[in-house]
Amino acid sequence: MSLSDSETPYGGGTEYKPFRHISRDRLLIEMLRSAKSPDSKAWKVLIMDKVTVKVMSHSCKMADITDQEISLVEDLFRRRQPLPSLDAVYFMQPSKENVVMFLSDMSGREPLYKKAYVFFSSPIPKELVNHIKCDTSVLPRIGALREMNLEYFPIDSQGFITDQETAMEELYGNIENTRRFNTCLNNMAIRIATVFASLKELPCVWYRAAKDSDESTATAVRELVPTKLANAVWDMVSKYKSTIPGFPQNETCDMLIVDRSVDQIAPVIHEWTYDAMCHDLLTMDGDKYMHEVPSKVGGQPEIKEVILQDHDSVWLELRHTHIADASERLHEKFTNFVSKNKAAQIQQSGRDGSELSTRDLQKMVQALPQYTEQVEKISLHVEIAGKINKIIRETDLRELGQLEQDLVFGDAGAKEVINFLRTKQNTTPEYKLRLLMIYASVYPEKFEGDKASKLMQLAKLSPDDMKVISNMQQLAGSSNKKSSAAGGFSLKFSNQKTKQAARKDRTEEEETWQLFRFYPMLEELIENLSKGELAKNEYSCINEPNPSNARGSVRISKQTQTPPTTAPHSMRSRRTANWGRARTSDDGYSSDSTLKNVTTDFKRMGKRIFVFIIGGATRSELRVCHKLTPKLKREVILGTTSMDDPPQYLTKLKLLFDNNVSQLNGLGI
Amino acid sequence: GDVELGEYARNSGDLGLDSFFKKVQELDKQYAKLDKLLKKLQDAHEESKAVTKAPSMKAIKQRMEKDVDEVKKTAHYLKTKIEELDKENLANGCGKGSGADRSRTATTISLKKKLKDTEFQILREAIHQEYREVVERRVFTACLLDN
Repeated sequence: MSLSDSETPYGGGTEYKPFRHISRDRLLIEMLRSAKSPDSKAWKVLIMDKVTVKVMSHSCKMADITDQEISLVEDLFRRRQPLPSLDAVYFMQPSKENVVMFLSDMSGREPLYKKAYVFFSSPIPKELVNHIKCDTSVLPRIGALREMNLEYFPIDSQGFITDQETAMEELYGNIENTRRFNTCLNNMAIRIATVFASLKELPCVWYRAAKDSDESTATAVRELVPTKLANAVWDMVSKYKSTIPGFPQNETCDMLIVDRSVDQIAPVIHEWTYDAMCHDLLTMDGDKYMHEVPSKVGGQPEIKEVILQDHDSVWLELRHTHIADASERLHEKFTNFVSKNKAAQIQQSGRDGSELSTRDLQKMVQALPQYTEQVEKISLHVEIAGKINKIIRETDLRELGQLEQDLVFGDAGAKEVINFLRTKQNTTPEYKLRLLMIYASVYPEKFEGDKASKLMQLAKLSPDDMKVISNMQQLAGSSNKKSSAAGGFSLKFSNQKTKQAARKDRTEEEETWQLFRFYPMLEELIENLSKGELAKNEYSCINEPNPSNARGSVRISKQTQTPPTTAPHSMRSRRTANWGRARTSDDGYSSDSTLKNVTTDFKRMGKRIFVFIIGGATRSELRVCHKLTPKLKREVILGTTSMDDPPQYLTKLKLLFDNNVSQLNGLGI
Repeated sequence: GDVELGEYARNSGDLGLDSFFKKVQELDKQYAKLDKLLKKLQDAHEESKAVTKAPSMKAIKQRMEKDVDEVKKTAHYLKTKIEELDKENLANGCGKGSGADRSRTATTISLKKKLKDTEFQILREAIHQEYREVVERRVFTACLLDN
């Protein structure tokens, strides 16, 4: 057995696979399928800890796991029934407690399982390896002892999280607790590094550089977080060069590490895509939506749990479109479907009565789950879109959305905000708070002391809500200084009133739909990274690419004038594709024709770009990664500590600093 | 060796599970057979599209009929056996929620799911067969009218 063996069965890099596929294949094929010996019985037990069970569930379904002949999934820390005739696969973090638990399972005269195949989710300390090797009764029973190096959580075909909901608080809030800080940062780096181990990519690591040189101030410590994370990630991926067979020795992709200070607006502004609207306006638990289905028996409506993810082809098509566009497309889709169904019915009645069996068979076909599934899917989204549109109307969200966008693009200021607050007293406090946060971001010097207090009073918001904004301002830190300095600079040379905007209009974009002007700062950053034009005073690189690399990068990543448009897949062709398939599984990935097309497109891709946002990312930022992938011809993958919807982000900001009062006084000075 | 085997045998729950998986392995072989037959049918179907001579078409049709019968027989056998496993699972001595019980349940569900997928394919082949017969009858009728 060899340590750190995560060799992929298919040759390294010859076939370009989307990010999510690689994760899934590594778990199912590289780990579960490989756990086999000549005398092995077919079915096995899979044992995981609380982190690895999450890793597994983010990539695979239970049916996938069963297909790999796992008949039983167990929790490492629960009392488990001995099954000495079965082999076991252990997938766990390399912690001491886990190793001790494993050894107690397999050591002694009566082990729980026949043979154990052990896979660690991240690099294991040497002393723990020695600890295992010392146990002479366990050694013969170990079929594999490997570092799987997969400890991240894919949440999208081009996105993953490190599942650290409290990262912002631990890294930017309670700075005094060094142990928590280091643990959090280290775990983050480990999980990011396992992404590169899985994809066999060695990154050029770019990060947002610190400005303040005095390391003793709180602001300076916060500014250094991206730097520290970048260093930690680089240390870990560098080790892979010698520990992982086939790992590249030279840089193969770009990575950019930033935190929430680069864009304080994206987390709170209303994003008008279907995806963002679902997560913002509906009460969703992650990707889970509680769908009210009219009961077939005719009683009380049932509550059905629905997951809005890639396997839902309607969702995949509509999620990044404007809500109005999505509504139109759904209507068209529904109308088409109904008319096709009628055509089928006409076809039936057209046949003479003697063809009973053929007609009966066709009725059976129509009644099959496949047909029913299509109807349910479309109906589901029609209902969801309807609910969203209703909420938009009821809360008068269009006007607020317009004001938000106008503020961002410099077309509105204090006057408009004050007028809105006066005339729209019934607006929900959350929305007013978000509006003021945007205002405070765009005009930081106008949201201080008395001015801020008056606006908060006018909005009828509490001191608790005030905390959110002041915490946001602290998080922005030196961005404030820079902004005011720029203001001062402009005052010296010009008496004209300068238009202050957080974003520039992008003329290249067609604005078909209202309220679609806004784009997150990430879009600009990724494009600059791709062109090699990141601002030198703001961003640094740990391993600067040499001139030849830079030239290659530029050549590969030339921007196309017209980004290729992916036409929506018709209902007819999708059904045909499914129909011809040998076996229809419930696994959305292998059978969905949409994803097949996506896979085909990836073959012409250049180098990957990874962006990691410390402290949470938004739906709009994920959308931008999808948008830029065909535009730059590079797969852009977003990583973050957690995906945050606006209400969640507000809560995190509120809880960020507990010594709020003194800080506020400090600002006054 | 013998002592160890003796210890294994003493665990009655595990012994039951052992025989359970032996049965599952047998069913997996039947599934493999079924997949092979369905592939043959699909190939024959493609072949029939390109054929114009009556004798060739007749030969293909006979072959397909034979294979369809075999498919139905195998599918029925599988269904019966899976139902038996279900009853056996209910009757087995393992406590509910125990490792062995969950293992049995997960595996049986997996087998059922496979069968459901296969049934759809069988139905599709049957529809193809029916359609061909309808076409034949109409062609024959047209010939009569011409005379």
